Amino acid sequence: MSRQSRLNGLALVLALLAMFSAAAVNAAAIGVTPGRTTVDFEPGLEKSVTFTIINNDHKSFNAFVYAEDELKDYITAEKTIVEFRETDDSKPFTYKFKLPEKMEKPGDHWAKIVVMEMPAGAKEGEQVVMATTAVVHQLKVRVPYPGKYAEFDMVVQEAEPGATATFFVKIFNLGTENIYKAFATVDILGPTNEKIATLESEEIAIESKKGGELTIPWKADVNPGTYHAVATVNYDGKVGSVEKNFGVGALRLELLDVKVRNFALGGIAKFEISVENKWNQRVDGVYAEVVMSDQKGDAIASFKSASVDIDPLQRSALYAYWDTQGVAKGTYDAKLILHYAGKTAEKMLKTYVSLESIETEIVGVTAKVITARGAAGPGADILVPLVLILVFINVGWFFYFRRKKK
Amino acid sequence: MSFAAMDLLVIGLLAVLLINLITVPLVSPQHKTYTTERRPEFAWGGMQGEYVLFIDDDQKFKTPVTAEVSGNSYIPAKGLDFGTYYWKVQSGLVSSEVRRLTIGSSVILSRSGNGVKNDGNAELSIHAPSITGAFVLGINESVEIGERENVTAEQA
Repeated sequence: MSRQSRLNGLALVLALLAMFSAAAVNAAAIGVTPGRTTVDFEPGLEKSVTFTIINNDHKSFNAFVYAEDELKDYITAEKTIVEFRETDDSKPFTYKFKLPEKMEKPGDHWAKIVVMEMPAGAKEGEQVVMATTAVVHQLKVRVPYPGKYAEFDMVVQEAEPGATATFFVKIFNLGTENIYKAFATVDILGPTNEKIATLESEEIAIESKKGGELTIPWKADVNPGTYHAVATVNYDGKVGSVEKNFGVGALRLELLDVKVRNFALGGIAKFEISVENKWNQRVDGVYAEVVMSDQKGDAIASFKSASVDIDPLQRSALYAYWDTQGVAKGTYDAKLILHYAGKTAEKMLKTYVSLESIETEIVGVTAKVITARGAAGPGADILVPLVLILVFINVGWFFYFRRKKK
Repeated sequence: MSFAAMDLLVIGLLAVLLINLITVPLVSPQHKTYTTERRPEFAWGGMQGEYVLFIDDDQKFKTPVTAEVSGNSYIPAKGLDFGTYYWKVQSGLVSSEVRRLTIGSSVILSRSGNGVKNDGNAELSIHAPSITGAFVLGINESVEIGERENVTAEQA
């Protein structure tokens, strides 16, 4: 905002603060999008920026907007108050900035456009203690570093074991000079920091204030688990690095077997549930829950095991106990729910209870873990016959009317 | 309906059909969409089959992220970073048009009683008198502050 408008705005806020009395309990929800606008410094650069103020709770309020931080004096706006009604989802707000001819210090410089929620319909003459809620739209101005200077980021396209993962190393040339040769070496480390692979990228050139990206594929012939990638970037003799954790496959425990030994009907049945950790890191707090149902589908018992921690790629047993007093011989359905790492995996068991034994049989899997693979959209399976029918109808019409015309 | 009109209708229908056979018609997001959804659903038409979705921040798709999809839609498993992307869908030799999509950050702070919650799609730096230093609030996370405290949130 200009100095004058900012001062006017501040005066207005102070006046409003002095007017309200009810030290009302705050219930507020205010937002902005985008939260940040980034520009590269150019001498005297002038621009308009529009962001959106979000009325997340659909209520009446006034948004008071002002600028602060280092670059606040370069910001102007036509208005400082935006009125919202219950029916308004959002409203745009536009400000302008004009950068100086010179900014000495390289790096990031900021202006913060603060959007503060003020109650609508405040009454005059009331005194106040009021808490404010505000959100910020940031204007970030990047001033290039003298000479060669780059910053980096890395994105990993993860993969299943045996498939190809891809590392995207992004290089932002924030220097005043062009980069003629940039390349990266990616080291992949396992859970105990052992080096698994070293990958080399191709070479690229990047102009000043532009970005470049290196693509480095890797065939993930490793166990499922979490791995660490360290990308060392070399650009015209300078070196920097960026690192990131990434996953191969999904964290998964496998139910191997369910056994009950030394059982007598009427006593306590000890269910021994064997589980294997397929992940390359320890999974803590694993437990099983068994829900027994009779042939009508009514649940007759539910029992849980104690929780255990399972080391990477190891097997472990969970023990759950079922009091069979009053339970008749026969066949029961059991749902075994494995709880781990905030997930659940279910399996159905057929359980045959006799006087001296319980036999179990794993009959199926009901996966609750949602995979992120693409799925056919609604109606996709009727699309092929529909298109074929249309083809035949259209070709038929075409020839029919052609012949009739002749 | 005259023969000429009927011919035009038939030709039109055949043309539509042909376009559907030689390209992959994109459904959503629309071209030049701005969204705060970091995992938008990419959808396209055409016959059910195997498709490859290309997403890149470069219009020429020099270094695209790809997803092989059996079906007509895809939601990225992980949220995309904020920025502008170009996307297209390919099936064999047939390719769709290229569309542009911008994913923007949203800074949304909800306040109720003595709690504030990050309802946006980016981590927030929270400033309040009772909080010393920089406090980062993750997406959907809450923190308690004084009911009568001023609070400001910005993208971390």
